[in-house]
Amino acid sequence: MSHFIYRSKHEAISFRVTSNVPVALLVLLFGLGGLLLSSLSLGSYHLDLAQVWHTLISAQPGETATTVIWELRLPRFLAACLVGMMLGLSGAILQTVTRNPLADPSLVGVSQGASLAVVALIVLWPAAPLELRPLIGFMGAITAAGLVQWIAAGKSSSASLRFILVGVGISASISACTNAILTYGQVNQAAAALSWLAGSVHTASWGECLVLILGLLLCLPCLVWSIRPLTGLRFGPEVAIGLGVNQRRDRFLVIALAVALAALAVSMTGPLGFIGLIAAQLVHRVLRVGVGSHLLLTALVGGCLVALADLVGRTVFAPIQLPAGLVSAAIGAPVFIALIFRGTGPKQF
Amino acid sequence: MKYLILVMTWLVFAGSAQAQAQTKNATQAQSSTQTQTQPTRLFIDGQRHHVQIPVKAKRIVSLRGEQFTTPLVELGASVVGSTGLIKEGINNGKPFIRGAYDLFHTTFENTSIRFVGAPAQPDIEAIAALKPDLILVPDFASDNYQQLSAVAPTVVINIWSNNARERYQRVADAAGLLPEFERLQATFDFRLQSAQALTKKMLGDPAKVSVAIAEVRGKRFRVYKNYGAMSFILNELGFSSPEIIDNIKGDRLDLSPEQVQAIDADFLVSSYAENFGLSILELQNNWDNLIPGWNLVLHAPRHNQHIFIAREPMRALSFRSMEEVLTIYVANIVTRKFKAINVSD
Repeated sequence: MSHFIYRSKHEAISFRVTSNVPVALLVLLFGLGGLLLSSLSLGSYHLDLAQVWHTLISAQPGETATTVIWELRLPRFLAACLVGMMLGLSGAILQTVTRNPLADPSLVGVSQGASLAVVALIVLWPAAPLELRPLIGFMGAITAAGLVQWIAAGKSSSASLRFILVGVGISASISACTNAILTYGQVNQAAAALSWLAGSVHTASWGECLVLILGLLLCLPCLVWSIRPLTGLRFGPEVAIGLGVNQRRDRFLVIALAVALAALAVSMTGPLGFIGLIAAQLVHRVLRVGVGSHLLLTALVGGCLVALADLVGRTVFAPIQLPAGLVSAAIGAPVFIALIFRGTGPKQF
Repeated sequence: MKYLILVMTWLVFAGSAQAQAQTKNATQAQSSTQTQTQPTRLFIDGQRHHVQIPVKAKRIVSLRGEQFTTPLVELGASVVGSTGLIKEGINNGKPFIRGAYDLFHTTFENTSIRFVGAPAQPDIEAIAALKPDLILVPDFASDNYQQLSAVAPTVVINIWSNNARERYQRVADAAGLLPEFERLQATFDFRLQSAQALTKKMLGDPAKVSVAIAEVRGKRFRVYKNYGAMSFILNELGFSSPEIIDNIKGDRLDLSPEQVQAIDADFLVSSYAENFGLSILELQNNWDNLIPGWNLVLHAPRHNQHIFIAREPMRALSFRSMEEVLTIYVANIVTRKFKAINVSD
């Protein structure tokens, strides 16, 4: 397969990219652009493309179209993309580091931890300010993931298997607590909690977008750093050590990075379960690329998936609104199964 | 490469900040436009938001059928949009307004009220298209308050923390319809006072008569302290309830089937909902399945003193529903002969 190599002036940065990556990148960027146009022009409030353009370049304060575009559709699209990117990246990192194609943020207890924290907040402290939800969700996600990491920390070479098993166990325990709270909570508060659990970007505002952008930018240098250890870790611990990777330390750090990305995303929108799993798998099964390209493409696929899910969810049965989490699972599962049946993906992680 | 990353970061921040500024302007302008067109007043809602709302709203969107749309319909308010439910067997499978459908047969088809989605996640764009001047949101579904208040002045009404009459008054106050509320209230109070006088005449001290509200749903044995008009009227008439219900902190409590005797009372009240999978037959089957022999253990069913009330009209916040429940209690408790629990069989 043809490829090209980039080297900066003093070779501080260098990378190799296979020729199909720019093509895939372009396709995904066009896809994202198309989704942006569709998201801005489709919805219960009718606006054609000319009106959308007019509102974008010369927003008239006080007009409903301005509110719909600038306050509802644009932040919602942006939040969907950012959340999808973060979940996709988190899933890709976890799948690579555990060498398990089924790994996703729910494996390390991120989704369950955030869910328990937010559900407890909604049901047990209904008067709590709404602004607390992302913060509490983030803390819940980090605590659960930290617990999994701590219990799973072992010296054996089968650390990945131990990590997965501990993750599954802890996640199940946390889910049981969440269900107990839902069962015994006030019916309307339980309904509100269930709505959050479905995973949706319907409450996205510019403030949330800014937090997500900031989070992603903070993680960006870590993501660039993670490419090297992930390249070694995907061949297994023995090869990773042979390639000069500090296996235990780097493994912990890249998992912490995946946790941080997923925790931030889940705390903003609720658990969008399938994205972390499917975005990385879609790229993995379609293209044979290196870790860096895989992360980049997975982020774009994740962004496209959530943006598409949100668009479908809010337009197809309007005014009934389907949560993006529900739609992404409904769209993603058949695509995922089709890809598995195609069986074109490389065996190695 | 470093410079490229720096430039991209700056672009993202600048774009986001500009967008924030633009939307803030748009929201402020929208509020000020509405202020200019209608006289407004300050309203402090259930979540302490200070909102400038119209003195008398002309285009109200309600995001809760049985709690807001129903009282607004009864008050004769100008409702332009409401959330609704879709359920097989109700309104031919078309969306219906919970409460208002059962009580007044108000539908989206026979009124100018538009369907704006389900209560858990309403379609904010559909709401914006209706150009409302007031949006009413329940406290437990106010997570999209920011988006809604960008569309129109939005008021959060607390559902569970105050009783039916106070809640109704808040809805009427927000809509600018307090005179209509007081007119309806005066009629209701007249009927309530008549019923209270009759209760005293027939029963003496009504507190000597105990009434428990309890239901079995699936595997849950649940008792209620507050449950719409059903509990409100019981309290207004002065009946007592078993100690375990009196001591509930909150609105309801799930009990173990083994505690069934703790709810023993002169009367037992349960609600049924034919179209929500809880017909009277199903309700009784639920009791039989979870607590076999319940109707022999408990005094009320043993003496045919178990009262069934239709849930949907009863839960709808309105004087009509309160009057209906009042009539049921007067007929089934106050004016009939019954066997008191403290009298041996």
